[in-house]
Amino acid sequence: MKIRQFYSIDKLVRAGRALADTGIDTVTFDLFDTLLVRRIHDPDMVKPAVARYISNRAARLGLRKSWPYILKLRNTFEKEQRAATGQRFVDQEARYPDYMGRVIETVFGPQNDDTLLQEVTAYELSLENAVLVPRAELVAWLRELKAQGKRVLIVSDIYLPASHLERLVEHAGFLEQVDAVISSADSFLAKASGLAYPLLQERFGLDYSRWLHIGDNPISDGLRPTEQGIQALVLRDGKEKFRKSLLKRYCNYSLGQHFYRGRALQQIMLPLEAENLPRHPLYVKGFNVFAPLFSAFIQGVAEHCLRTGIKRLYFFSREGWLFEQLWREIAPRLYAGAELPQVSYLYVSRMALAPASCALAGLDREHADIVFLPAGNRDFRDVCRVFGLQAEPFLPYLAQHELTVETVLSPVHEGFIPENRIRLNEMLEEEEGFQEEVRRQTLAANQALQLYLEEQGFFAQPDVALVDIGWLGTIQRFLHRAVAHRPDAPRCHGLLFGASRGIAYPETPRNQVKGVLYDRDRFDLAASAMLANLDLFEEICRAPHPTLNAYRLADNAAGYELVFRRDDDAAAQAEQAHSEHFRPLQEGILAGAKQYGTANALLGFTFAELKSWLNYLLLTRLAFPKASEIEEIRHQQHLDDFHGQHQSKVRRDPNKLWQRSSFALRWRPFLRTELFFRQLRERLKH
Amino acid sequence: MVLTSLVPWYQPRSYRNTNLAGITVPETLPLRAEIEPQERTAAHEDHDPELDMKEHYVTGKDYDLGEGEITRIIHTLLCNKLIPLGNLSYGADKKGQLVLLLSHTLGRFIFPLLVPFEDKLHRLYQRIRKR
Repeated sequence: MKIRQFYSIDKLVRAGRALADTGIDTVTFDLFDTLLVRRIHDPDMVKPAVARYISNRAARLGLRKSWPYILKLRNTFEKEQRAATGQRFVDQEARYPDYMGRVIETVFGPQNDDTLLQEVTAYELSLENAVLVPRAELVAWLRELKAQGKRVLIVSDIYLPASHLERLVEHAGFLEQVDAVISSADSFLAKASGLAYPLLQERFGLDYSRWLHIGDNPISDGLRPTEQGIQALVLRDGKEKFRKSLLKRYCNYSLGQHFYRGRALQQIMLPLEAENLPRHPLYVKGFNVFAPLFSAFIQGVAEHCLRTGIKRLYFFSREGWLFEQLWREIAPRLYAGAELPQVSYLYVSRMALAPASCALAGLDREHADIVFLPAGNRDFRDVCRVFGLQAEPFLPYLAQHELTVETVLSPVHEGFIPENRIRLNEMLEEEEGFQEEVRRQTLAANQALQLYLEEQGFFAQPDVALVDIGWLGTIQRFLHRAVAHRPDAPRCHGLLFGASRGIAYPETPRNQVKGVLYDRDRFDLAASAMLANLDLFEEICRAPHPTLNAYRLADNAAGYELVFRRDDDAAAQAEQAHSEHFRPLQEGILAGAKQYGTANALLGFTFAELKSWLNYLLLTRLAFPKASEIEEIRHQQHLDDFHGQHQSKVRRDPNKLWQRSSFALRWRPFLRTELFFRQLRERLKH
Repeated sequence: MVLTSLVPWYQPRSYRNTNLAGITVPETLPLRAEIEPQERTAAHEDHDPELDMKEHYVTGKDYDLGEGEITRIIHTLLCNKLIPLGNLSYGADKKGQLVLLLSHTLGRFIFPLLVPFEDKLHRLYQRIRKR
């Protein structure tokens, strides 16, 4: 008996259309690998993720059950049910609610109702929905058949009952075009033995001679219906097999070689079918490069919080805007069932926090040094600008120490004399009047900040995690200094995307920072590639709102107000234009993050296991990028109000690859290797 | 820079997507604007239509990441043998790299040709494996 097999969808659909016009009134489709394809090569990859979910739920109730144990329970109970079914029916089918209910009872004890089973089922179906992708051409043909008045049924051999399959089909968007969904789990009669077809014939009053079946299995969807006299078309898609074989290979390699773990994860992330639309090149870059980097960072943050028991997490503006969105996509998927920290977006900035940090401790030498880190800051006026001070009351103190407001205090500017800096430090240390004036002028900002933080619940937890892009931890430094005097001030755990530690951070048991992807205190040469262009990451993550300028006391119900930078001047408009340029990149990152959450929920890789792949991405895209990649993404406008407007002696850094001309990038031989070795020397020196 | 001054209408590639003129700044920027992924936004309309016509797919026909990622991986891992690039976790074995390179570059041609013989090839593979 010859089975009609097709090796591409369009040929099958063409043949199907021709057949459908010859008196066919009923068309049945197989569901999995026919109407829907899975991103993964093995459907059983969903099971460990569900086992982890149950394990997390059990942990919240104080029950210590590992996920391999739960997975083993599931497999055992399913096998037992199949054996029992096999004694009564030809097909050894199983039914998900039956054996999963046993699993839940074994893990959690007897249940009064099926609430927990429904929650576990909902999670498993949500995972299935995330990995299933409708086959665009077949679904379009299905809709066409329905519009022609044909009866359309879906029949599948699977452990999920029809009610669950309907939810999958509904999520795929074509349930309304289907007359019924039939599963072998309800009747224990499957297509594999051929008994499903007489069941359908009896239930729906079908005529075998006017019935067309489409599927992917040569036996279940080819031989068995043909034996009944049903017209059957079998799809054996070479491209699908190619895709799955690649993924299987990456997954197998990743078992023994950590380097491939991130690659396997990205292979699962790839959009398929109708998802794979033509995109802006920056979207593609966001999806393939920056989504895994930022998503893995968020995963590292979540791992840290879960490990240390932190219940409250704040994302610092403005980069935290993107991080918060990534968290909401990724964390609930990766750590389903676990108790995740409560998250908030905190409006902060160096400019707003700097004054508040001086209200009690005054302005010390260390903080004055921070002012002169950016090359654009030159003199005492910049100190006043950064710390929100009026210069006039300080003139007598400056005069006593032979300084003026215009005295050059930064070594990168013309006219700098080291003695002037020494005099400034002496003034800061010796003049109590100076410090009194600083405290007087900055007290209001500190009070407004405390009101804001109280409203955000900052002081309600003993430990808080503070997430920022990096790089010196200045924001957290100022923030902690501003509130350290309070007895209810929490322990601050700073989690930075990258910690360059250009200046020493005053770490104490109550105030710590850690770089997740890169930390200078942990020698990681590959990850240090991100130092090639730190501004790039800030620009990518930038929120579409202006930066915060100050906290101000106000006569309203809250008692404070947040003062944002004006958004109508030339610099802000240029920044907005720049943000518009990066919008496709951010879209790609968010789309990629969604897929990252699903892919890693299935694979279960930890941040440490993905690190080598992340290092590869940083190396190849930042230290050894193509010239076209740099030109495509190189930043045009970086707004930094902390940075003054003075022109320093510092010229373009010759060690910065991303500042080189297009000509040099394309034609200078071994440029990247040379600059990489220079950077290696810098890393070893410091 | 020289080219721009000599040929005024020449725009460096990095600037082709920028529309610095004509950007309308809304009166109030949303504080927590959410971007819907995978939807074509107005930003797409502002961009160079040539780029919209050019097809950039996240998933290429060879199911690799972007263009030639596998060759980039092989190149990087080879360089890591010669110069210290950092922690790439011992990299990947050469046989695997070669198989993946061949799979990505030739797979989309070979698999459709071999699928009709899938059963026979599978039985042959099992026989070789048993030996």
